Amino acid sequence: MTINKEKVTISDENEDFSSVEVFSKIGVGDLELLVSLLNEYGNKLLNICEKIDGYHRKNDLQDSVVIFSGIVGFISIFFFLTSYLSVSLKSLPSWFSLVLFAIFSLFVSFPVSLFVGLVVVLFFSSFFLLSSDIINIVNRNKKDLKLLLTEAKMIALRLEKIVRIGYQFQEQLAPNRMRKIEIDLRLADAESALNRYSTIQQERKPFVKYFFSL
Amino acid sequence: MFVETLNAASTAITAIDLADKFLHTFKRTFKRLKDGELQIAILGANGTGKSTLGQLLAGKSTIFNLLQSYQESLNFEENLIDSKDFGKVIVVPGQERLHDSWDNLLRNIIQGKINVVINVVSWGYHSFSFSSYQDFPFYQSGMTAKDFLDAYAQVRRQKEQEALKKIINSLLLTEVAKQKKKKLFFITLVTKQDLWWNDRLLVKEYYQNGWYENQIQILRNKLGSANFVHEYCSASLIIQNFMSGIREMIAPTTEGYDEQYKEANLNLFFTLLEAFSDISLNKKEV
Repeated sequence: MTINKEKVTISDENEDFSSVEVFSKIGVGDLELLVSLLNEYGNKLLNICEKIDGYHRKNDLQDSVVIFSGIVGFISIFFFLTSYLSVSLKSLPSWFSLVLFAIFSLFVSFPVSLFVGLVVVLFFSSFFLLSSDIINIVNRNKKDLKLLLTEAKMIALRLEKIVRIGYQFQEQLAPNRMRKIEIDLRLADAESALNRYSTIQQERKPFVKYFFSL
Repeated sequence: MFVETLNAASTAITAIDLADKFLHTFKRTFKRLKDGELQIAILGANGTGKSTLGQLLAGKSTIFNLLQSYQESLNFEENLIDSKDFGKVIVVPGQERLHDSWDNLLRNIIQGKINVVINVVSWGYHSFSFSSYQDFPFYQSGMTAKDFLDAYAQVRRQKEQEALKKIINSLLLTEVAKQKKKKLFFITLVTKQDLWWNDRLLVKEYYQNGWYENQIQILRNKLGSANFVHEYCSASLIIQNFMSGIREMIAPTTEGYDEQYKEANLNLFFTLLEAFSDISLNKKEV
């Protein structure tokens, strides 16, 4: 990228000689190009990382909703069963009634159990009705996130290459101190973008995603 | 009767093998609990062959890996040592601007968490990527590759000195140096022997009787010779011509320097490393 490449072909009357590639010396324009590439890809990567971060946050919220509706569902079934068992308590073995009584003494009274059970079942039903929407949104976000992560990976790979060249420039090829400082600063920005990407990429998926992923 | 004897002998041998393996695992675990995980730090300027050495110690030194063109390391590289013993090798990024990132590792060295330090130098023959030798600021029109190499190696030897200064200054921190209780094993490995083999007397003189040795002596005085053991070693990790980033020949490998020399010197280094780190390396050949 910083090398201006031109092709020189030597021809002869009888023979067609193979082409020879000639590279010209790296100039000031090339340094500017390097700096602009570092800027461009560094900014691109940072922007995409921010987007990914946003998706992560959104997904965390959605995961919380999914977990909450799951818990509510579980509790509602639990109360429903408790209520049912408390009605037909007499048909159960005495030891089982005692255990139930000891554990769920608060709800052993039928009207209370029925009331709590109904409220919770109704509450859960609303989550159940909404669940398909929730899953759709989660799924869509997940696809977007996957695309963003792929794009970020590609940009990060390109930026890594540019940073490697930048290191070479900074340490060996910079013609003067000010140029060296300039590249140093740009490299620092690019490195921070790469670090940000590395942090974002390493963020662990909440375990719930593995259970609810479609 | 004879078959039964053979069977019994075979069972006994299997039992001995199992006992030996179990004993080794037990010893290894006990050693790890007693001394902690073995850690080897590889430091030095960039382009000296630190990553290659790291790969070699980690048993990842396939000919394909080693022959890949030079790439600057962006971060610390950590690999498990290819050995029956527990341990890892940590390679620092060599760029001058990343020297500050060595601080944590150097702190671990001071605190005795790292057992062996290898400073990799290469007589200034530092690999570089991407550019032509004519792109360097000190290149002047009419310079041959040989002229360039002389000038380049001189500049790069200063970088080696800066890297050593960084290490020594950190290890010399008075208060911390006093706290150091564990012995520090320090190896100076001069790589790319195949490129400077004809100048070996010069190389020896430069490292063992010059500025480099003075710095080592300062460190030895500060830490005390009971706490600090230093050895020089030279080897070639791979026999390869010195090429520029765009594949121009800068220096060919020395005529007559062959695999036998390489193996012999590399084995000397491995033996020293094994003695210092008290481990037994699995693979020694590339």
